This record gives sequence, structure tokens and C-alpha cells, in this order.
Amino acid sequence: MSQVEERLREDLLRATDFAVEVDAEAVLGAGRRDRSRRFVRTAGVGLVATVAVGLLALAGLGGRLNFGGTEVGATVAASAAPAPTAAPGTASFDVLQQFLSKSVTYTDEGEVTASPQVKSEMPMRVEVTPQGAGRYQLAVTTVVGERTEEFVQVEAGGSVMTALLPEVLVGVIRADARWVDLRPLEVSAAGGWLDTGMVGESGDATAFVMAFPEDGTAAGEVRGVTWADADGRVHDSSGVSVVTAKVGLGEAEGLVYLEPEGDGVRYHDDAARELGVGMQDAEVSFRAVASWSESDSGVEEAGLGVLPKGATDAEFKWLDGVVEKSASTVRLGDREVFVVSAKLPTRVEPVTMDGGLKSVEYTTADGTRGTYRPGD
Amino acid sequence: MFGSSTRRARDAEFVAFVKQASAGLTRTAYLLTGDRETARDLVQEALVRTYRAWGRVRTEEAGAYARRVLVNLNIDRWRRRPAEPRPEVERIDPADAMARVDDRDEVVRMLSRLPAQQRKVIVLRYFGDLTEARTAQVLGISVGTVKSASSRGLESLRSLYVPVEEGERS
Repeated sequence: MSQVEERLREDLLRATDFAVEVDAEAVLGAGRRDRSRRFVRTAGVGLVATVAVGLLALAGLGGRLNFGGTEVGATVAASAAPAPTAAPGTASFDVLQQFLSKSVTYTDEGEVTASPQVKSEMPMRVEVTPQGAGRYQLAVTTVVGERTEEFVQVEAGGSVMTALLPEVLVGVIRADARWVDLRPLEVSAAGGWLDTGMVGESGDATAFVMAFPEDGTAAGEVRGVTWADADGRVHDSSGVSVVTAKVGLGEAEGLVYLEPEGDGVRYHDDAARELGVGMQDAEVSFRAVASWSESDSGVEEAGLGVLPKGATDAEFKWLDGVVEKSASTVRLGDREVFVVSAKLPTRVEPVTMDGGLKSVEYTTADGTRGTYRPGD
Repeated sequence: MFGSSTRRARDAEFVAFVKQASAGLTRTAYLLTGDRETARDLVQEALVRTYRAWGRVRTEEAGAYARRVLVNLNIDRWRRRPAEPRPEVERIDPADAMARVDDRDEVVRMLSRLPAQQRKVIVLRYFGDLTEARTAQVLGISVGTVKSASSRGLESLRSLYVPVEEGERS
């Protein structure tokens, strides 16, 4: 070992000679909350259903989507190249095995081999590298050295989203994006994992990666994303604003927005709850999700609904025993939208997904009272 | 699936693991980020992700797993937040023990000047005492890449030390 190496070891030890105090119970609490939020996130995408009108036909796109941007010299090619050192400003993401169907692993010698039986925790690294003038390199490299890359051009305010692999979708949107929602083509399909990161040394854009688990939504089976900017406006995949309204739900602050295709509404709040539901002219549309942990006997529910065209004045009747209930209504375009949340102290399985509601009463366009019962 | 009593046992295992592993992880994170507060945040995220996978990693592999998550989190994303000016690094003489005692954070500033991958390799190799193969495994890169990153990183760090005359010290 050289003198520099010896001195380096000593200096590293000296620099880290400080006391460390970590509240292990607080970390456990954060882990539990994370687990709960992730369930809601997945369920929010996976359990909403029947928004199946006017869907964007993607069959001709070869599983690759492109909104508001242009692919430049797309080079989807697999090659046995080692992962390069990240360039300045690169956003990199390590995709965890649990979100993928692909299995790869390392040997003791540091070599990598593919194996359907043995799983690696992080089989893929996705990198988004700025090339200047709105041009970006999107690349995914597996631990077995397979690299697939593509160059895209993002117009001002626009975005690009492309499926680099069947199970990995990568995109670039505006720098001030606060969150991104996935909108599966089949909204009843299971959700995917999503992460975001800044691109460019000055934070020029936001990159996002979605990975899709086995038996879940394939990367080519989405009709786009929606994302919120720093001012609380929601945009579609090409950067165009959609009709948005702020709404509170319990202690959470959320946004309700119209689907870009105008066929449904979605809700997203700062507690990472996501809900989506289609719209009908003459009937109430309603979808709920539930979350629970095995250490808690209760269940938390959240629901999103849209009154029929012209209907107003929603009133909510709650199921017996419901606690911590909350409901808000908001006008979104020409429709009245409501969001609800509730906690049931005792979970009865199967969970009914009624948002804790016994019924919703409202005044129809012709002035009569209507009633909707989620349990019916 | 796990019943509630089993969940309690698992959580107790996790808490014990956090108490045992946090110091090492935090020190590693500090060397990677150059900021103690950011290091704490990074460790918290790594531990939360470890809890997410606790059913699979448990105590036997948990330390390695948490470290792997830690170093593979997007460090630069975390480092973006404090927009502090980067202090100039002074060339130091490794023979001058008193000088190093006076400014023990100098090596952290030197590390911060390295590209992320070189920084990770140097920290894992010379602070974590990992072999080249193990470092490659943790970072998801080849052994060759580890060797080249380590060599370049050491070369950069060497240039920050005052050159030492051959045979000047043992």
C-alpha cells in the first residue's frame, strides 16, 4: 500500500471520528409510513377502474411514446458495454429488483451473470444526461452490461417519455415538476414504481423513471403522465395545462384535475395519495382505495367521485363506526367533484372500498334529490 | 404473510439493526456528501428502503444491503440542496500530523472534488475496507471500472498532497 493510501485511510477515519445519534424508533416510524404510502400509491393506480373511453391507441408506436418532443437518432441497441462514469448533471436511478421481472446477479468475483432463479437487488441503472439545447441522452444499463440508449429533444415546456425496455419507461419534463402521475392505458392494471431526479448541473429539467413489475402494466401500455408544477398547475405529457382545482382532504392538501382526454378526473395530494375515476353524464362515478398495515387492525380509505352533469350540493352519510372522516367538494369545469377519506377502526375482509361512505345525496340538474350508495 | 406478533418481532429486529448500523452508514454518507445533515437524511432514506425490503434482507445481509442502497442513491440529488460555495482545497503535507489534526475535514473537501463514482469507490475501498470485487458488486459496476476509478481518484487526491521525497518518511 502506498503512502498516499495509508494517509488517506488515516484521514478518512479522523474525519469521521464524531458521535452519531439516530432515533431508531423514528426511523421505524418513517419506514412504516413509507410502506403505507407505497401501498396507497400502488392501489391508487391499480384499483381505480373503468375509465375506458377514448383511449389513445398506442399499438402503432411500437411501445414507445413521445409527447411534445422529438426523438433524435433513436438508437435502441443492446451492447455488452460497461456502465460509463456518469457525466456532470446526469440523473441516475437504480431500479430495484422488486419492481422488475428481470433477474440478474453477481458472482463472488464481481462478474455478473443473468439468472432466472437468483435475483439482484439493483439489476438496472437508468441515466438521463443533458446534451445541451434541450437534447438528452436516455440510457439503461443492466448489470450484465446490456446498454440501451436513445437521444431525445425536449421542446420548451414539453416533455418526452419513451420505453427504453419493455419494463422501463424514462422521461424528461420541466424542472419545477413537483410530482408525476402515471396514467395506464388499462387503468385496472397494476401500478409501477416511479422515481424522479434533477437533470443538469443547474437543474434544467426533471427526469423520471417508471419500472413495471411482472404481471403489471408494461411500459408501452400507458397513455401518458400528468405532472404538477411549483404553482400547483397540472400539465399533461406534452406540457399543456389541464383544468385543476385545489382541495383539502383532512390534513392533506391536494389537487383535483381533469384527465387530458376529458373523460375522467384524478386526485393527488401531499400524502402521496392518488385516485382516478371516469365520468358519466347521468350517474355518480366513484372509486376508492384502502390501505392498512398488519400491525393495525383498522383500515384507511380514500375516495374520489364525480356528480352527474349539472348536479350540485353533495351531502355525505357515513358508515357506522367510521372515525377521522373528511369530505370536500370542488368545482372542476362544469362538474362537481368530491374527495373523501375515513378510517375504520376494524378491518373486515374483503375490504369494501366504499371510502367509509354509506351514501352521497345531491341535487340533480332538474332540482330533484338523488342518492348514490357506494356499497350497492 | 406475517401476523401482527411476527411483525412486532421483525420491527424489533429492524430497530436493533438501525442502532447497530447507523453510525457506520452515517460516516460513510458524510464522506460521500461532505455534509452531516445531508448524510443523516441520506441514511434515513437508505434505512427506510431497507425496512421496505426487511422481509428479504433481515439481519444477516441488512448491513450490506443498506450500504448498497446508500451508495446507489442519487447522491448528487441530495448534494444539490445546500447551495454553499465550495471551499478551496489547500495542498497539505501528509507528513504534517499537526496540520491534519487542525483540519480533519480537509479530506472530505478533497473527496468532494472527485466525480461521484470515484468518490464512492474511494470511500468504499479505503473507509469501508471493501475488496475491489465487493466494491464492484455494491456499485453495480465491473471490477475494471473499480480499478480505474480508484486509480484516478487516488491520482487526484495525490495531487492535493504535497509531493513527498522518496525515503523521507517510513
